[in-house]
Amino acid sequence: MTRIHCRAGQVLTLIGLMLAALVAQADMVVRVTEGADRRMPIAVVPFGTNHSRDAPEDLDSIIRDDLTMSGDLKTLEPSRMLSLPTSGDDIHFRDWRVLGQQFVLVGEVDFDAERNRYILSYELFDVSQQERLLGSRASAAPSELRTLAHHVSNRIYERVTGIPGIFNTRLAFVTRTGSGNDVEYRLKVSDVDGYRDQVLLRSSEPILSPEWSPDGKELVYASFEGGRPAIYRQVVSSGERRRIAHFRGLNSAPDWSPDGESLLLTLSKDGSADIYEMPLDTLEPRRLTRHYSINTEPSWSPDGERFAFTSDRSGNPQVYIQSLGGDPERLTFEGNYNAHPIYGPEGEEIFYIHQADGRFLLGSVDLETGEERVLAGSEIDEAPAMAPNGRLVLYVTNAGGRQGALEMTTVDGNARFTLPVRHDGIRDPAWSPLAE
Amino acid sequence: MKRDWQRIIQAAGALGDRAIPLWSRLLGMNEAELREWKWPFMGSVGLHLLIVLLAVAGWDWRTQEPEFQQPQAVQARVVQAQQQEPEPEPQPEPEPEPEPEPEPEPEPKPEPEPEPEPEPEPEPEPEPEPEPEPEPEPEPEPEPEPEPEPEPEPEPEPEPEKEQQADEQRAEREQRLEQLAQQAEEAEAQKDQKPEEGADVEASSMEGVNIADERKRFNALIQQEVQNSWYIPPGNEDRVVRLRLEILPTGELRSVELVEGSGSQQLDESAMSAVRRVDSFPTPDDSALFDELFRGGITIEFSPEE
Repeated sequence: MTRIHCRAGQVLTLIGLMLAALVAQADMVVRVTEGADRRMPIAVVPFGTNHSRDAPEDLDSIIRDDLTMSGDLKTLEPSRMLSLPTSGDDIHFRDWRVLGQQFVLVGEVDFDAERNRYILSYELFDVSQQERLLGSRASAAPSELRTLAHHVSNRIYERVTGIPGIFNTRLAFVTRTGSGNDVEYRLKVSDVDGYRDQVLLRSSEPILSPEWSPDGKELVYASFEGGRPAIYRQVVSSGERRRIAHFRGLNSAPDWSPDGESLLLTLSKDGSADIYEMPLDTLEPRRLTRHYSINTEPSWSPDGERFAFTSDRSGNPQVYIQSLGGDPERLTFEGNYNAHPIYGPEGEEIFYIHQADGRFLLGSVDLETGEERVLAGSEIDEAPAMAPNGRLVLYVTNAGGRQGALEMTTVDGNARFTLPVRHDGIRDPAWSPLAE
Repeated sequence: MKRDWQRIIQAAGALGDRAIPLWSRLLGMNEAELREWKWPFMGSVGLHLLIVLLAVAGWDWRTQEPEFQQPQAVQARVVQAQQQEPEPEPQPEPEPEPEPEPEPEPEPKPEPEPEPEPEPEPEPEPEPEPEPEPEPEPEPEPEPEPEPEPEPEPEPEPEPEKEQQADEQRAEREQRLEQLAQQAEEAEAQKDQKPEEGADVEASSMEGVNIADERKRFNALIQQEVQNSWYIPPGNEDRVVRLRLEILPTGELRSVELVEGSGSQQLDESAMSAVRRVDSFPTPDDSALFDELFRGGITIEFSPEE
């Protein structure tokens, strides 16, 4: 009996070994779906200088701020750097590996006195692969050094993410200063980081809802100058402006079509506040919604075939979408206040302001699944604006004592950044398209 | 008591008197002179006899201290020797018994496990491991048999008393053979245990190792290492990168190859960077297990999720 058991044991052992051998022949496949951090670490080493003249701008500092603002990169403080190389030949990759960096940017600034231009030579390296990813030279006049820095930021960001950088784009927004009879509204444009702002229009009457043209050369906005609301179109570079809609009642919330041929806007010339499409060549509006409730804040889809808008037809403000020739469809159901929708760049998601517990937060709805979510930590006081690369949402916040602060959040809500420049009474920010 | 001494002295004196002529001839002295030295001479002879007796009987005058120390040192050595012996030497115990030894000795201990390949198809017996087992069993049996057989045959002729004696002798032999068989089994059991112990020490055997479990374990460890060093470029949620890695037993990356690109240069590069950033990949200490898990390289699939 014992022998039989012994034999059976041997047979089983043999079968087990054979199975094990078969299993062993299959290669190990390791599946990785998550990373260490959503932000890639990059060291922007302070640039060396080959000239005695003090540059008016700190180029590497601007680049660091840009890359941090993107929400997709995490920059290293110069004080933590173990060495300060200015060219690829000087880099000891071990230093940067020890500091956990994935990329390192080095460069040198030169000054061409004859041409009165600064020349930046820069190189970007992948630390672990010890490979040069970028190497270039760029120059700019002393007054354009910030543009030069944003240009380099764009190139780095695009090289390491594959996504176009937004650092050379511009913002448009309205500020309100003074009180009583001294109130002044200003339409301004600035760099994406809030610096180098310019005033395009001053008015004692409200200015609302600026929007960029698809080519980034013009703005449309609503202005109450003269006592009645009207829609204006203005060339940014020249300041030339033209009134394009001045109908009875409401004229507000213009949004430029993706092809630049027409506007969506809210008019009440036919009684109720409804959404109209107005070709810019004929300036004859066509009514798209028909409802006695308020229908406003239209936003074109990226393909220009439909639009999202806010309507209180259900009793409180909610987000709807509608094709140009179709019927509206309600999108949001969570909460009693969901307003000011904007399309994401891919047209798959819509962002809006969501009110919960007395606070206004950034919400989003997935157009395929209908899933609604709220981006944590984003307290909004004004309408959001989508970055042209679809990675960031810009909004105004007064939360936490940050009066009139412009804040950005990544669309996944993982990173937020407050612009260093603040403006009193800031509202209605708009983000320009990507620079040509 | 006093008389006894007087008799002994008289006897000694008489013995001395008789020996005087012999001594006078041997030494060339006259008997009168020798008679004057009779008692000192006898005393001297008696002392020498006593010394000779003591020498023959043995008197150990050495102290025992050094011997106490020596065994301690010896014992320590023996202990060491016993610890090292188990691997090279088969069985110290079976030695006294002649029969079981010859079979256990030929054990092929070190080899059996590491050879999984030579056992491709057939029966379970030909395997290297079971071999040593069947051998000891038959031996105790054949030996007892030949002995009882010849004996019972001549027995029927004699008388019933002799039959009884023969039965008793047979019973004794059988008992002895049973003991031998038992000893042989014990020796075999010891022999079977040794390869396992050896495997523990050498870490060269995978007996008792569940390869599937180990594969799962190292898969998880590697996944964690790579994950910790991977920075995912944004916007690549639906893409997949596959890399082929060759890893050295020390855990160092020997080579990495892009097997399947994602279509995103940045995602492909991030995956390559991630594996290069890993200082040391987790690998098993057991070389046989390393071969099983890492022999043909490993594939890492990067597929970012939201």
